[in-house]
Amino acid sequence: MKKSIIFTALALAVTLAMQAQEKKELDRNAIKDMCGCFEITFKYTETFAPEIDYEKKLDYTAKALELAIPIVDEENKISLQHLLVVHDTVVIKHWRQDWLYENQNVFYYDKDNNWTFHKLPADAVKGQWTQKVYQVDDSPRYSGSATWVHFDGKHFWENDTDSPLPRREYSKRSDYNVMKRGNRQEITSYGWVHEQDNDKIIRKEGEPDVLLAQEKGMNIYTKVADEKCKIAQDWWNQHKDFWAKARASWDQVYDRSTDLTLLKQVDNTPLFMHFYNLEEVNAGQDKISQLIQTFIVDKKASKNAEGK
Amino acid sequence: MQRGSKFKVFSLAVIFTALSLFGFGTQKIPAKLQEKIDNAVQSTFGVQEFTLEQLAVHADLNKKTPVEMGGENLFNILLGGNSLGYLYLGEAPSMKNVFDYVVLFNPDLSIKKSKILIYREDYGRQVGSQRWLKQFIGKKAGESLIYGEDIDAISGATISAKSMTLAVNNVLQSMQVLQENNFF
Repeated sequence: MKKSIIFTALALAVTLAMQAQEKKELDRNAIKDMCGCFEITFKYTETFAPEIDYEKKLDYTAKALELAIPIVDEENKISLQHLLVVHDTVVIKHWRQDWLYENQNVFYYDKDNNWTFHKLPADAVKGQWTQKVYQVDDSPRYSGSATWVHFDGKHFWENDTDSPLPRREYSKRSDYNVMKRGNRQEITSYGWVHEQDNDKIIRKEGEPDVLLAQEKGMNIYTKVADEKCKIAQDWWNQHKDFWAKARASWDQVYDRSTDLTLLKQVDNTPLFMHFYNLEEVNAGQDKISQLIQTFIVDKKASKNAEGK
Repeated sequence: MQRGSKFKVFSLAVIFTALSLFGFGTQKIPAKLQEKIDNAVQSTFGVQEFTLEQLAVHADLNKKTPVEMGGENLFNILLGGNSLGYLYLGEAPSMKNVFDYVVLFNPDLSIKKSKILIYREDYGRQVGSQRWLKQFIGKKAGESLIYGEDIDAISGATISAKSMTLAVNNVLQSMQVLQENNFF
């Protein structure tokens, strides 16, 4: 009798462990399904605003061709580098998304180019993947942790988190300073969809957030033949060593448990423009670290940042 | 008896407070409304810095205008001493409440833009959409506006849309009265 109970308990534990491993493999496959060459349509439209005098801004639409390369593929970490192909001839290093399994360390965006460090409880991130999204220069953008869902033939991941203004509005708008992103990334039969329900927020120190307007975003990634992105793959082969050094430099910066505040410009030039110069000469890690350090400022901790 | 005295004292206190708040106090634009007025001027005239100079309309002339011009209603929008145009701030009824609106004028007294700044009901908020309000742009002092003819109707916001049309119509008539009396 006692033996049979022990056997049953062991069998149950093994079964659960196998199920968890299978689920993790499904997660990993879903993340890697975002790799490849994609034609993308970007569509954003403002929807609701609490104040009657708010005038909705014009819709934003754009198209692009993009290659996503898995630059790290480990058991608990997958890193995807996105590269834009412009007019079939020019390649621009675009955003990067890192996926970390049961990760506890995140930087949530607060405001004014400040990110606050948070240590998430281990039980809160069990079975979850953290998505860390980076700018074109590998500086931080936003982070969020959630569970990949695989039901009814659907494969998606959803998360709400604060972020700086998107690039399309970064230099055009000053009437809000935080975007609370509702991100939904779903793998589809033709590629994947990045659906967004965003809140445009005015955040001031010591005051409650004020919602300015909401927007819907649909970025549709349709997979196309890899040859269409060959120029991007070639470009990456030539520049990947430089960006490996850049990531190593940033890793030293992110190895902290305090806020991270970055200047928006040094010598009237944003960080990504400085990076172009270093990339051109394939600068060493010491030079890259020196550059990053010139952008880092010390600042008091803030408690506004939010992510779920 | 004692209870009655206390009530009298309390009543007097309430009356005194009410009078000091509403009766003898000067009318002042609330901060939130003022912020919205400033934003409306900035976005309409494309300026950051400007001054709003209140234009005092004499009581005799105010009697001749269909809309109230005697309080903090009519302003000259100034930039470096030059007039960019005029601003009329008014209040109009919605179904169960009132809303605050502005009509912004070019120097030739044609409407540059109109905006509803504060709306206090859940129904009929469509009236604040620029897709509808833009119909008032270009209308001149003295021009008459009829809801459903000159200005399109809005389904689901009939009372507020009618009210706004009548308000703007009355503002245009009032501006003409001021113009005819060499006010500007």
